[in-house]
Amino acid sequence: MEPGGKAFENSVLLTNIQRFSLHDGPGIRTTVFLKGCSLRCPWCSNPENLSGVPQAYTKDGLDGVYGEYMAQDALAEVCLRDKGFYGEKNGSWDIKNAGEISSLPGGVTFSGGECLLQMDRLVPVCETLHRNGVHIAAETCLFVQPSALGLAIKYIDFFYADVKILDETRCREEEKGDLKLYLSNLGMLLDSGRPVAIRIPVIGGYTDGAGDRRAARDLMEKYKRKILKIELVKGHNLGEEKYRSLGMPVPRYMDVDDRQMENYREELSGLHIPVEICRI
Amino acid sequence: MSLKSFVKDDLWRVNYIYPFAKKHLADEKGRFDLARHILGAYKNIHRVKGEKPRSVGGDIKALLEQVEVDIPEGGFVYFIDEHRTVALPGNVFNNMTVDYEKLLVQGFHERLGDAAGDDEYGRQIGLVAEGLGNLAGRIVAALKESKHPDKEKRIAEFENMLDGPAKGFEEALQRTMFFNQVMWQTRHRLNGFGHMDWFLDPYYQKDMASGKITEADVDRMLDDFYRKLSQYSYYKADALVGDIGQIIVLGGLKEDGTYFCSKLTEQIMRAQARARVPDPKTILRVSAKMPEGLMEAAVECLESATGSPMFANDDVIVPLLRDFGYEKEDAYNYCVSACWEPFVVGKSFEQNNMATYDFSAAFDRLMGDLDGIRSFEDMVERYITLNDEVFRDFLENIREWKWARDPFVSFLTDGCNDQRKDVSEGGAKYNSYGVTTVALANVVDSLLNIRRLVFEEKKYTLQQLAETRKKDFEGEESLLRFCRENRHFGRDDREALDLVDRITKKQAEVAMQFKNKFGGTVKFGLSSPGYNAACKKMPGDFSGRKAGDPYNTHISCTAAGYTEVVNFSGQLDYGCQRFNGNVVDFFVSPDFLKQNRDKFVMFMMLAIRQGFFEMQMNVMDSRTLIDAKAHPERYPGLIVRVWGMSAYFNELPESYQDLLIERAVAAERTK
Ligand code: SF4
Repeated sequence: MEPGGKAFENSVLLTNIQRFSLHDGPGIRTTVFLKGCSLRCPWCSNPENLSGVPQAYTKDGLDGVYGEYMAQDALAEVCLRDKGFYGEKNGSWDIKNAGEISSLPGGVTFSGGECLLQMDRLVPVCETLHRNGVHIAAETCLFVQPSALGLAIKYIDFFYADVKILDETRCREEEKGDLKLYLSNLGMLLDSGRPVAIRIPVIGGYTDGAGDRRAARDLMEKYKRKILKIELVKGHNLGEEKYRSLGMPVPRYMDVDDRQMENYREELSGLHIPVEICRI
Repeated sequence: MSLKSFVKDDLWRVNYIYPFAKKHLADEKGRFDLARHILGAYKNIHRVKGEKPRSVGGDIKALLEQVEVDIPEGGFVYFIDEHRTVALPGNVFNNMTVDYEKLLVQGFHERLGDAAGDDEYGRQIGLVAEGLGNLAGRIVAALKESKHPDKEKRIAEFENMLDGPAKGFEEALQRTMFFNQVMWQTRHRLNGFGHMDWFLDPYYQKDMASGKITEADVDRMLDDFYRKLSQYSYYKADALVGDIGQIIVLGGLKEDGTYFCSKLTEQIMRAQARARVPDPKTILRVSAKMPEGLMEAAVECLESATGSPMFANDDVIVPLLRDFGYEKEDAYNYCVSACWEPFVVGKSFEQNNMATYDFSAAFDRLMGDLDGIRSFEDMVERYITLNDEVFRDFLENIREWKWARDPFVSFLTDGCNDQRKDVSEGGAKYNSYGVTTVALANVVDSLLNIRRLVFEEKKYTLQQLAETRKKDFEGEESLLRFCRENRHFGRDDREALDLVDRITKKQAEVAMQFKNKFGGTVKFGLSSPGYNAACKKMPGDFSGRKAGDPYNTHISCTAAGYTEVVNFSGQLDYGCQRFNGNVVDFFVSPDFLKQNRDKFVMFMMLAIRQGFFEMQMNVMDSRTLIDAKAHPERYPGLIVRVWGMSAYFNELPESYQDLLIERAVAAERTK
């Protein structure tokens, strides 16, 4: 049976469900890593989540498969197991400033890969979670069809949206992405009024140049009233083993030191959006 | 009566060094070394005998009259004469807390007025009183001679030691320490402190309000308290160096349903963190009603990595104690025995850590008695039947334990003075026994793995598995790996939960039928110091354990994350006498805690609502432990949580060190 065929209609392709996740949104969360991505960032640390089909791998002499089709109701059931640890918040989740993030409850975060590629299949999961009062976040690169984003805006309560290479040609060549689609999606998301935090991976040779930083700054300037906060994220090589297990070459890129990260933060400070530096 | 219990019960007068040599039984250095320690103890420790006819009270009187007084250069007076002891007939009441509060609100002599009499009971406590009077008097005399900077204050406190109520916070603390010293000196082991923030709080509030003391004064006093109490650790240690049991209970629900803690609660916790010693140690009674700020202080204390505080969940424990039959007031006032077994101070003769029950013993019998088992259900039924038998036999062995008379503890235990009956004769209000257990996790994992291998996938027959077990999995590495990768206990596994409840429920029925000689019954729990001792002679099982490997530690699962284990523990049934300590045991890396303190506090507050019973943590990363094993000289102060106690890593036997490293590695993997 081909993926996408009938048997897979009510299921979601994922590689991992991480409980007690503390870095993927407010509170204590369960993070679901969905398999399949629309981009190919050269620094990606999740090679197992790029291809949209299950993949065989070999690690320490043992064979395995990345990716599992999980039925929607089964996924919702796992996500609800830690409901007792998500906590509650009375009142609206549509917060307007960064200071309120910590008042939001924990919940479920869809990550990836690009989780919105499977947004239509996530809808029933989201409905079950919302019926149970669970807060939902998503981490997205926004290189997706506007219809998928539209659905997401309807069902997702909090977004982490990436800002990566902002030069049209380099975006196409290095990330295999369509910048126009991205920019229009970013506008659509921010105009929707949903809470959005921006994540900027700062990667030596790709997104850390003066031009990259200026472009990011200008983009942030345009939407500054609609952005809760910006996170500057340093690259890391935690994905190395997974690249090897898939027989893929391990990506190399230059390190960005703490001072450069601080400078970047400085440059963004005039926007009056809170900026955090995140190290993994 | 077996020879062993005869030696244990009736040769105490000869075997008086046993408590001091016991720790060497576990230190894995061999018999020769043990014999050396025993001889050393006989040489070092002298028994003091009272006048004839001998009696416990008379021996204690003589002992207190002879111990050497040692006045420190400053601070509180606290000393133990490590060379003198009493040799008593029978087991000495231990692993408990004496009711210090009774001695603070009323002078010893005032209380004696109610209890004195011409009968034997009154005579015995009278003798103890004479010994105490002599000791306090000699301390006063020695203070007068000393250069102690606060000697006037100390003299006044000791002159009032037995006469009137304590007059302030400092005096109350000094008095608590004095009677604690007396407990240790008179051969009691594992002496807790009880609900210190509660019983000291009235003195604290009054002195603070009047300006007699400041927070800084209290910090100084508590630092001195911790320093002094952590001395004599060799003398005090029980089954392992560090197993001392001076537990301080903090916070908790009051009878009116409100949560009580005060500034003093936090000050004690901070002193614990500053002291960086494994013992004294603290347990915080928590509840969904507690202030979040107190949990923040507790997590900060955890970061100091002494293993304190451990957490006891009042929202779960108090109702269980009520159901068992403790009166409302007593249930709300519970403390714990030296590790974690709920214990009502000043009202009970509850020996909660009498022996360790091994769930594997029945599994071992099951593996030799497989005939006629055709299904998983048959197998579980057979195991439960065997377990009932083994447990019944086990209880028979503790039923007849003989206890030494204990006039001092009786004097401070409700029920004894009125009935003129010593605690050792059943004079207390509550008289139940308690036992701890090991290996239920290994048994449950084994049964569920056998089900899959034999009854579902039909890869093996039961006989084949029994043979493999006999050969300790030789040539069956893949089977061993399968077992290690398929863990059930501690996970989101409904079947494991049901199986645990089913086994413990049947066992509880046996426990409920048990009556000890005082009319009490027996409680058990799923955590025990014995997880690395009882296993040594036990063949492997299908939880992935090879022969001699340690059992699972308390309620934990190296394959599961924090929320999973908490959810599991919150769904277990602890009713029907199954509440004798049930501890979730975690490893948390120090970096993780530091970087996520807010969320960790949130986790703890939410975990309370999930209904865990008790919880303790090792704040330690595997790298540190591995390095410390290789280079002990670099880590003289490294403290780890072992069972209900914390200890210096360097002083632990190697098998304990290895187990801790293994668990730390596993915790980092699941995180
Ligand atoms: S968007 Fe994320 S998952 Fe996709 S390629 Fe880029 S870094 Fe990897």
